[in-house]
Amino acid sequence: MANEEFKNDALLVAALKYDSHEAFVKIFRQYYANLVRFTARFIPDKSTCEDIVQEAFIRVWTNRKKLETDTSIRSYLISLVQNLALNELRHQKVKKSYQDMNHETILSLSPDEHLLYSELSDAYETALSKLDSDVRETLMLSRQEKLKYSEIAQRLNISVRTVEARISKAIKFLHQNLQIYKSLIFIILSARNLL
Amino acid sequence: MNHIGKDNPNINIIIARYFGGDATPDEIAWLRDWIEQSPKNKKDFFEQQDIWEALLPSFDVTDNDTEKAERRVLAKAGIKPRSSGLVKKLIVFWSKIAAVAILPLLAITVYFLVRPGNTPESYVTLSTDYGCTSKAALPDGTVVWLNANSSLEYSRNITDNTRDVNLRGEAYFSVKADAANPFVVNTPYISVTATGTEFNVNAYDSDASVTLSEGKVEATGAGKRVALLPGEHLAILDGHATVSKGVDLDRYCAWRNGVLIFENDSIHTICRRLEQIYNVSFDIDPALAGQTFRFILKGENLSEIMNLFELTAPVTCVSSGNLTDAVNSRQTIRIKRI
Repeated sequence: MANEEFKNDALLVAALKYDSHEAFVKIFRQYYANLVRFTARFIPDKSTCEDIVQEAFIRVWTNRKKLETDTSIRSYLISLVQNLALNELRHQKVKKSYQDMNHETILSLSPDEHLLYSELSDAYETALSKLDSDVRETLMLSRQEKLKYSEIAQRLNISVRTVEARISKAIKFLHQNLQIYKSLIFIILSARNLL
Repeated sequence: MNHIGKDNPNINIIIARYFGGDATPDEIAWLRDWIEQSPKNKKDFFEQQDIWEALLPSFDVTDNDTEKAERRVLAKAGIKPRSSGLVKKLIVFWSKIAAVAILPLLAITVYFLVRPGNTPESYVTLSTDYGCTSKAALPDGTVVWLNANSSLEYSRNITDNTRDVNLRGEAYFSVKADAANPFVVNTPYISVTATGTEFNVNAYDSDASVTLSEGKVEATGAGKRVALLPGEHLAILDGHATVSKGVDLDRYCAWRNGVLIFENDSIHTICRRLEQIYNVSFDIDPALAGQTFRFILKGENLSEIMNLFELTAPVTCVSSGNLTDAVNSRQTIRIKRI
């Protein structure tokens, strides 16, 4: 049993309904880190994110008998996490604009519209390497060295406006580049859901 | 630096400023309106945010985090530890509340102390440190599993003479069959004579015991000589020998697979067992006397065991020092009822 391969969600769900711990552990290992990173989008605190994702998994286990056989585990987990995150935000009554925005729109977004970290990371390197070098440098200073735009402007001796323009350009470029990749993911996900 | 022009605000710049944390409240309000204007805007925004976030996750999630979380979730969901082979499906219970999971990996370190000598009568000592177990084949073909904090001494010429070994601590023997040449395990409290069998000897202190899994042995302890059959367990308690029949062998022998099983054992029994294996002593709250616990441990270190204990029982465990130092210096753990 332990080494049995669960090839897709349909099998995993079927196994879960039969109380398979192995299926549960497999799902857990596949999605846990990804979902915690995903939750970080709404909640900036790591341990809260971890609690939320753990709670989502516990609910998956608790509700395993009620799962429809065509459930997409991925979508189910994402929507559970979204709802739990939303509850948490309401509970915290955090009034930061950053979170407020997600607060209002988070529910209207379908789980399939989100990409998880591991699904994106593969496509990144190629996309990043295609960026103009000055644009890439600006992006990396912001994201990897966590510099503020004003600090980047100082360091590169350019205006803040130029920094903003480059960041914008970088995001747009990556966005367009990843579209192809993303549609591929959609096909895979839809195919899985059909099984 | 207001980018909301009267007629044509640059949405891309505003998004960039928003991601960078530089957007003004006006700009955020405008961005929010823009997002709500159409499903496409919303999709675009969130996709860009996905990209932005993925470039720098707010924090890292390590394998260690995932492992810890897995144990917590399995415990909370009441999922039994993965069972295998001989080990029965057991679940950690305290008053039917919680369960505990096991570490998938069992860390066993092996520690040998071999004393070589030149004389034909030289002896070999095999010993293990706290928290470690080891397995060895003796020259006569007998296989020995040595539990933590134990030592076994045998002659290099074990095949020629009577097969005598001296044990301190705990060992499981799978004795190579040789009817003409009995295999004898000597301990300060108990001795066992076998010809070709499998049995466990626990002789950490005067409350020693012998458990037979296969074949037949003769055990001597507390002035009694007893022939044991498979599934029988001879225990010396306060100087009195008692034999139990049909015992659960895993309870006494599964340690060699890295598993410790406690079933309706008192906290004193459990702690005494942990004291044998780990370099630790316990100070137990008298209020916990009479409580019994069921759980299995599989390769957890001391601090993990204490965490599991706190998780599943209404107790707090306070250690005198850093539990990871327990190999070097003996630690005391106080267990108090909450």
